[in-house]
Amino acid sequence: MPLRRALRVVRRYWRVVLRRLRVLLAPARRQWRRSLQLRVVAITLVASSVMVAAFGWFVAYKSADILLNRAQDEVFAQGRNKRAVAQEQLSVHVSPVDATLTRTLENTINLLADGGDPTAGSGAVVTIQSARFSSIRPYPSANVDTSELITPGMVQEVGNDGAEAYQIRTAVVNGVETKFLVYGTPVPTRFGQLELYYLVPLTTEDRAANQIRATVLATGFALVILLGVVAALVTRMVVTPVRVAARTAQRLSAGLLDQRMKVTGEDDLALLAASFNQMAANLQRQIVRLEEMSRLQRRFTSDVSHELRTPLTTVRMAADLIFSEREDFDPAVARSAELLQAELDRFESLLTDLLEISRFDAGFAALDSEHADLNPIVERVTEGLAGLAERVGVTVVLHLPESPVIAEIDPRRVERVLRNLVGNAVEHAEGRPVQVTVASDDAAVAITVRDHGVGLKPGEERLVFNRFWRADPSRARQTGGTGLGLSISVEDARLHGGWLEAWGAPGEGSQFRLTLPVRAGDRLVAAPLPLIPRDRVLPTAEVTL
Amino acid sequence: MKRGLLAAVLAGTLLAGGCGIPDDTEVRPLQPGPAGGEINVNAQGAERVRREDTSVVKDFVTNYLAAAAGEQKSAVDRVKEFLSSQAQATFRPPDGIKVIRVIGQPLANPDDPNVTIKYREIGVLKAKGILEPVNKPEEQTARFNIGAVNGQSGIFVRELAPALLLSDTALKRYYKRQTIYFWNQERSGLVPDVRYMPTSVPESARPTEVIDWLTSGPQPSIASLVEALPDDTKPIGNVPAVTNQTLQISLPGQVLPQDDQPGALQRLQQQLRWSLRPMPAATLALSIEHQTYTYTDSDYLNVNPAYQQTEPERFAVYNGQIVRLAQSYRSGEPVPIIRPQDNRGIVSAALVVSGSRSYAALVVSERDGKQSLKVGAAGTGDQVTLTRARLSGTPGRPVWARSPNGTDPGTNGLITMGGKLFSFPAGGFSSRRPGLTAVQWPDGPLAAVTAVAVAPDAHRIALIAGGRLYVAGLGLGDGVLQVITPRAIRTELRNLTAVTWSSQEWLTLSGLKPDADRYAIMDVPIDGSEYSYRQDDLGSNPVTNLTSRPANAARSDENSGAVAYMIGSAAYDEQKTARMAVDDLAEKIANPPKDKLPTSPFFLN
Repeated sequence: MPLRRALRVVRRYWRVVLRRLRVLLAPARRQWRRSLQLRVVAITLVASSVMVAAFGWFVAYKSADILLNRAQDEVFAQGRNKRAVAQEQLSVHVSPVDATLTRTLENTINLLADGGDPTAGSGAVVTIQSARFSSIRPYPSANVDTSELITPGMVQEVGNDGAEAYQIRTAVVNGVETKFLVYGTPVPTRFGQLELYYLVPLTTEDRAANQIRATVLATGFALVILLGVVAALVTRMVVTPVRVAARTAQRLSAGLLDQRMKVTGEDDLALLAASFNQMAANLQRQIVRLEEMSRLQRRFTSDVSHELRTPLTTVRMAADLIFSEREDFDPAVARSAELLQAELDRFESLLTDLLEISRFDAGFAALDSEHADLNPIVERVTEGLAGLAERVGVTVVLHLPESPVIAEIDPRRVERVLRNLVGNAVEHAEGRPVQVTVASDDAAVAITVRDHGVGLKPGEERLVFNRFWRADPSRARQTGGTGLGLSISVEDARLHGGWLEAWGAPGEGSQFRLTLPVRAGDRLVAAPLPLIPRDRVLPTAEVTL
Repeated sequence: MKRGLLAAVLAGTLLAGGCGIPDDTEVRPLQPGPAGGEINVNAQGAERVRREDTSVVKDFVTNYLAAAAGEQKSAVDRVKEFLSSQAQATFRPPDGIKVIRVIGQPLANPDDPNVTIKYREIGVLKAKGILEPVNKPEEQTARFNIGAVNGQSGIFVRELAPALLLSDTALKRYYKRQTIYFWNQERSGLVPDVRYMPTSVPESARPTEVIDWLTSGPQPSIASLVEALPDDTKPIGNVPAVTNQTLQISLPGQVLPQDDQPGALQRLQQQLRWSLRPMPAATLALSIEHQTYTYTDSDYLNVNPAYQQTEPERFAVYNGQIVRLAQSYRSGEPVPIIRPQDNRGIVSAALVVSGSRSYAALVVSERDGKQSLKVGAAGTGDQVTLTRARLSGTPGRPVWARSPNGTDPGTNGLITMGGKLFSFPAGGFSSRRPGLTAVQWPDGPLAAVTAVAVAPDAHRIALIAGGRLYVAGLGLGDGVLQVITPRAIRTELRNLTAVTWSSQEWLTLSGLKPDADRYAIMDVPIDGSEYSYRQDDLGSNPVTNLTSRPANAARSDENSGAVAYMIGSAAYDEQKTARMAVDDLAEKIANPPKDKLPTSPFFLN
């Protein structure tokens, strides 16, 4: 149990450390993500470091190997020569206790000694000793303690196994740490075997290997730094114009259509800048043209609407007069007077809608928001359409919360949207009931209008909000809609910062949902009511049944 | 950027640590060593005596007197093995091993640890195998306290005089005489230098010892007569064992003087090959300054004057004439060198041939009863023209000290007369040198010189003076012969009467036996370290006129030279017991007078 506890503590601290590390490294990571130059330089440095390290290691290793091999070859050859001399010198003795053996060993060592100071790297040590004859003490050519250099393993290999062998040993000789190549060889004599060890300091080779290594290291380091600098410079040459292009594009997208890049030279980057500039110019031209056209179109619509209103008012006044006097007219004329009146109403509402649309297009629409309860608005709309509903035999069922649904809204616009939605639903309800549901949460209020009419075909959910779009153009109008109602409703919803969405399926009716923020200006994240009605029969279920 | 730096540092660390010459490695075998080197179980060293060998006091003393035998440096250590630890602590003998001849048996009494030996000192064996003769006629004694030591087995020498003693029998047993050679100063021939090689030195190591001795120079007794190798000539290591019937000797370049390299090289190889005899290999390979010279010929033998290729030619004087003896080499030929008309009235003669020259020295009786000396020299095959010098006394037998290459200035005759030693020139007497010349004695004259014999090399002489034997060098100073550093040699015979060289290392002596007034003939080496009787009882009449043809130095029988002598007026050949008679002459003489018998036998040398 304590282990588990300890592990838990460790894990906790590890997490803490990791978190702190993440926090500490966050700026670096951010920089890494954002800076192409940093990434290129870093990757170049890492890749070149690996390459240079591998190459440097190879060069240093091979050079040390060559130096060592050369030294070894020389030492082995000399050692074998020395063995031949020693063997020759010792050939006169037939017993390890020969009176003159000591003198021979001393003389042989003097003969074989190279001279020089072993610790200064200039002199080798030759020693003859015997693992088999205790009466023969070691005879080294220099006053050097060879016990550190001639290891028991070496003695075993040479003295007991009778093989030539070598080993590299580092030992403190006369107060100086020196690296030696120790070569051992058995020396056969007529009374048994002695061993000759030839200890050659590798000071020169070691120094050369270290110099090569240091040189390779310094060169490699310089090369890596150089490559890093080159990568930084090259990346900088590429990245700087790209950054300028990005900034310019940002400015362009922000509407500053006259921003251009500076074209320097004739290289690829200059071509990029020139192309960019050309693109920007074309874009600017197109945008200006389209803006102009759009402005003309809106102006035309607005102007036409305004200009039609004045004659319409006059015609209206005349038509109202005729309509009020229709009792006196021939029934056929009276009927015409009624028709005139009805079409004038329709014309007027169309004109009103057009003006409204014009206002939206011109950006003049303003929200006159106030805290209002949605329930009375819904009830008011339903009452307003009760006549139509009754006429087409549709019942409008309200699902209103008991508590008031207060939101910061423009009641006129919301009422217009609801009237549009409920009117459409009643019109397309095919005699089936229409449900209007209101719900709210902390952030949003939603009103859904559900009918069970012919429904919408796939893709029509978006088309219904287009201006003058009709699902079935041949279908007789009962409400005399202008075809702009849903377009205006969408604009109203947007003006509130809300959503107006549609759902529908053939034969299953449709549902429209208006979602508005409780506080004007808040951003909507979710609606309190689903867009797809809960009472919908799933097609899969039908298939299953 | 940070990561890049980190990578660079990492790479650097890798580089620094991952390559270079390692500090330590495992032992890595290369290949099996050369064949051979098996332990030789029989190689336990040469035979030698040990303290533990016996607890019998007499045998122990005998062994003790052999303990010093062997390599000179470790002699003290070997002797100390016989001593108790207390005696070892105080045992500080002087340099050199005293070679002694023990008289009688060691004197030991039961229950008495003190043992006494009586001895005579023969010489001192020094480093490089040099035995310096010492002639102390008086007997000496040495006392030892011998007994057991608590806690240790066997017996020890517990008290003794601080000296290394070696009995002559141990010398004979544990040493072998090894003659090395140096060129005489005229570079005309080799002069032997007798040394003693311990038998503990294996055969294969003997050439090394010999080279060491040669480069260390001649022994003092002949140092002024011979030419040492150049200074700083040190052998380069050992002389390796013989391989492929070749003995390889390496010497430094200094061994050849710059002024006469070919000659010096030739002389060197001849000197080496004589010194190394018996040659362990047929071929000598001499490496000097990385250049190898090989020698297989036998021409070198000729540079030793003691090398003989022919059998002895025996002569005697019969009826005043030199005659050949029968059963001798060239016995049918006429008497060489001298003219027939000169062959009369002869008392004694010395005829020698050297190189292309022949020399004759004749002691003749004159009509007035006095004697004169006739001397002459001629080319080979020619007959000499003799010149005469009248003598005022009775001379001894003339002898020649001949130059090995046969040059008259280097050849001299020697003769004793009236207890003195005289020389005469090879070319005969002249107005400048009308008579005998007394030899010089730089070290003081010896009195009563009665006999002289010259070694084959002509640079060493043996003298009988006052009945004792001396060996000396013969040199030339200011045109006059000099006897250099005569050294008395201990002999078992006393009242010596005659001496001759039976080989280049051995002398043949005549004198009274030590224990009886009877004459005997004995062979001794020139240091007197041993002796052997040739004739152990020749009666009470003195032996005179000992003469010899020295043994061939190229043969190993070192003292087998032909010897002849006289007792009274009778001549004897050493190989025969009967006195020489007319029948022994090569030329038959019809009706020989009864009172005329061959006298004064001699050999053509």
